[in-house]
Amino acid sequence: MAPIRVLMAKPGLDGHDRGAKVVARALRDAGMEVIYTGLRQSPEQIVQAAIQEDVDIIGLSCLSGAHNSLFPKVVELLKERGAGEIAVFGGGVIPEADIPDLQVAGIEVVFTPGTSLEKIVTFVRERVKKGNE
Amino acid sequence: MLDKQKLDLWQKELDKTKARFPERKDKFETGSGIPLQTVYTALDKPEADEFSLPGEFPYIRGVQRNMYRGRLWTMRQYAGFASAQESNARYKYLLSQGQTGLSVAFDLPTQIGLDSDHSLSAGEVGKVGVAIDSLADMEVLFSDIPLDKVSTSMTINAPAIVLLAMYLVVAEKQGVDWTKLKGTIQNDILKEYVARGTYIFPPEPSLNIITDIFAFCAEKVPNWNTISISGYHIREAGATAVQEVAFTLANAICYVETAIAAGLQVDDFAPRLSFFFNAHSNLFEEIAKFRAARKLWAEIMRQRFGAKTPKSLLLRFHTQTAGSTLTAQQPDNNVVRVTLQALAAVLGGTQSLHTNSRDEALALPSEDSVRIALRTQQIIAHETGAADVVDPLGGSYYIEKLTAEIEDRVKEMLAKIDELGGAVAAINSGFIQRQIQDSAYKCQLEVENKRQIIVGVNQFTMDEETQPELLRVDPAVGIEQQQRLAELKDKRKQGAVEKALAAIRQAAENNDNLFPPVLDAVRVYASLGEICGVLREVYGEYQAKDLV
Amino acid sequence: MSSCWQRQLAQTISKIENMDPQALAEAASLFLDNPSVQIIGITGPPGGGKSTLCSQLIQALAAEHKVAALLVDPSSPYSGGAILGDRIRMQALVSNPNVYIRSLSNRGNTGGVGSSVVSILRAVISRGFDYIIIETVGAGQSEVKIASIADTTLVVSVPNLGDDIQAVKSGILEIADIFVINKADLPGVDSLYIALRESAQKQVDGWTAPLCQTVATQGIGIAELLTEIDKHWQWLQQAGRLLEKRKLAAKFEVLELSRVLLQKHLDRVPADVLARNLNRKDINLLQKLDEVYAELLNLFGEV
Repeated sequence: MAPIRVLMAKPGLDGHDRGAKVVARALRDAGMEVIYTGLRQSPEQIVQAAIQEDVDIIGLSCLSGAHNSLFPKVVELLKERGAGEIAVFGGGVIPEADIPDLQVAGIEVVFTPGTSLEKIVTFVRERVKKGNE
Repeated sequence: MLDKQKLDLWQKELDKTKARFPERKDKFETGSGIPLQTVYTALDKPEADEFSLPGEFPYIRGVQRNMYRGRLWTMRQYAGFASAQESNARYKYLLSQGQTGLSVAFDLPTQIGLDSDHSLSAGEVGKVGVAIDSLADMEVLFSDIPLDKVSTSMTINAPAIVLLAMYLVVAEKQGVDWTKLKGTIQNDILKEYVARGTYIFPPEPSLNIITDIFAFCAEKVPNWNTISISGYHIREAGATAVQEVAFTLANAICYVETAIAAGLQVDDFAPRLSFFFNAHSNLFEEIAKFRAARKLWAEIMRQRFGAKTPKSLLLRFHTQTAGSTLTAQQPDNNVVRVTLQALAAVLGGTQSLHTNSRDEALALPSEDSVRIALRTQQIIAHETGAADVVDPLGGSYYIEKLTAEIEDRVKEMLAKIDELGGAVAAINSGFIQRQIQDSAYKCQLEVENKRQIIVGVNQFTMDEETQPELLRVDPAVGIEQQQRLAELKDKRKQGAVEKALAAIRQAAENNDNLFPPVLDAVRVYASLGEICGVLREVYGEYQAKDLV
Repeated sequence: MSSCWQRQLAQTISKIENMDPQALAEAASLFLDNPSVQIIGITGPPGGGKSTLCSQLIQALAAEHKVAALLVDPSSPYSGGAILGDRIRMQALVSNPNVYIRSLSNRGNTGGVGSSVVSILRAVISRGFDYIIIETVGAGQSEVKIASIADTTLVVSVPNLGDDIQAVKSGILEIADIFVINKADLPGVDSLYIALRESAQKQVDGWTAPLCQTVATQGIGIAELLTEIDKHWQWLQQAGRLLEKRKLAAKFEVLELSRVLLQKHLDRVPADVLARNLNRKDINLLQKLDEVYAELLNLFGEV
């Protein structure tokens, strides 16, 4: 079975990467190939990386409150560049009240603080499986 | 008198009990991996420092003789968001509610030396702190706040020289003498590379800027703390208590070495070094950690650097309760967490304290939440008696043993970092980052396995939860800030700005002290982005050594 | 938009990596002997700053050429997953339309590269790149397959990693067309230089491997290194060695493909044998393996 390929990205200026790195490790331990973009990524850089790496899914992490503008931009650019089937999920310091709008904008799931790694790994696995069917 | 024989008999009885009733965990240890005995006794007391007193070397029990009996710790709530005007209002509110010092939070573009109209600033302006693009914003931020009456801590690192210059010019305009100014800039670039991520330039030129600040302030702003060497963020990134102290002190050693290499005398700048630690959940490990840190620093300053002035030996520190322990679930529980963490800081002898608000796993604190956080400190100070005796847990068999354990483990780690060639080499090789990330992953796995319970998250959970009213930063802030910047650029004298920027470039290229030309540029309303832009051109940008 | 062909190439690479039969067949029909692309391999022990060096090379080349980079990282022996982290140092290059960067796991293969790498190369070459850089970790003799694939192999060492003796012993030096001492601002450069120079002196058919010193983080020594890379390219063509190199790569490709296909077959057969035998009540496999052994010998012939 082909390993799932995930892009973990840090859009914007937020420098807190503990969560993104912990999730990346968990996905690796679950047998996935994880590409981590590093800090200070623009939505364009993230989308370009996702396309070049042919990832199945992108995880966006933001703790600075800039998620409402940055996350939807990533989805928008993916569609523009013909990569709209790449699924996107998010995490970080994101109030519940913001999540419905994010979902409308194409962020399928937002994992808020306290989410277990198991939950995230399971979501990625099942979502990619569904996407391949 | 307790003796080994009695203890052994006691242990045998305990073993019988344990055989019948297994304990709650198969292993009891602190987050740093220090094993915990069932009970500590006089037999555990380490020999040294038995008669150590507060205010005397090696300062385990406190940096002053009477600590909070003389003066309570400074209640300094980190605050700032959106525009300078709104932050100014929040500062005035906090001062009116009894806060005794200001602590400025800047937004990410400001912390990274970018103006609000930079492409990477999109969506970030005013979100995690106040947006400052120029002196004009700084003037609004401190409008009607007398700088000779408040002490101000500014959490700013890579562009600290610019923000401090702005503060000095605001003071100038208020007619306040620089020698009267009290405050701190965080100015700790090394931890940015491993734990916080708001670096701009590579390590070498960054260290030079830091020593420029030391030299300038030693002469012109003598009551200003020129650096707050931080362990808080290192802990938040996943480090253990032992790693927090070890990496902070390793960074501190690097700063002192750099300043000495630049020609400064250790006793001239060391009294103005300050520290910033985390107050985490394990009450006793935290108290012991602060005590161990004081002893380690005093010995390092005396033995390694030959400091002579007593003030050079003091580990004075600010503490913040651990943000990463706050939960989004059942946020009111966070008030309890913060209370216990704040208590640890007080029992550990902190000079200044910030308590987090209950809603900070979700957003910046609302006015109500931040008031409760402040009241937490006030209740501890005035109702519990915790401030009435110095180092109240000193002499506890457990605390003394734990203090000694932490000290030993930190020394081991410091030796390792020395072997690697010091803090910068350890950062360049990725050693520090790997240590932190390994601890972070281990910590998360313990939560996943329920070896570590987080109330409300992996046990005692609730199904339906409504989130409280949260603070929102109006997205219009970004647009308004950009407009203000555009208007400023129209009004100011462009020629003077260009001349000042050229002077900065020249000072940077010639390795002259940057402070005077930065002051000049700030006075003519050069923007933060313009000043840092020049420095970026000369020094280059740091390329992260990012490992997962 | 340039993303279109990038997306197609990316998807093709994935298919080849996952041994999709159609993708492999299509790749097999693409040319490997294209003489207008130089394939540069970069290897060396971990901690050598290869990614930063790679990033600097790409940046310099991409000003006027199309450059592709394949960055290979090892997979976890426990989970089979991988953190592919080399891309981080190159993210600034991602907006340059002349640059294509792809991270690959070695999919559990020793030798530093996955078994489908040459097939991937055929696909990448067909897109008209001027340079293809393959970056892998390589510390010992088993990690040197990159040399069978690349036209020009760079071995990157750094002072004070205990490399000096290790490198000489491990055999990795023999594969170098160019030696690079990175982090050349660190102490210990001289002793490393001396240790490497001995190996470098051995001429191979008229090419003496030069020793370059770089400080990749500061961009020092990059221009000189590119000059040496170009010199090697000129030599390869003048000495008629380029075709030899490509044939080596094709040989590697065939061997790897055979191995992978055989492995699949192998994986299946013993499972059958075991399944049949494990449940027999009259044999205890723990004590007597000889019947199963006999059956295997029967299937595969004498060793």
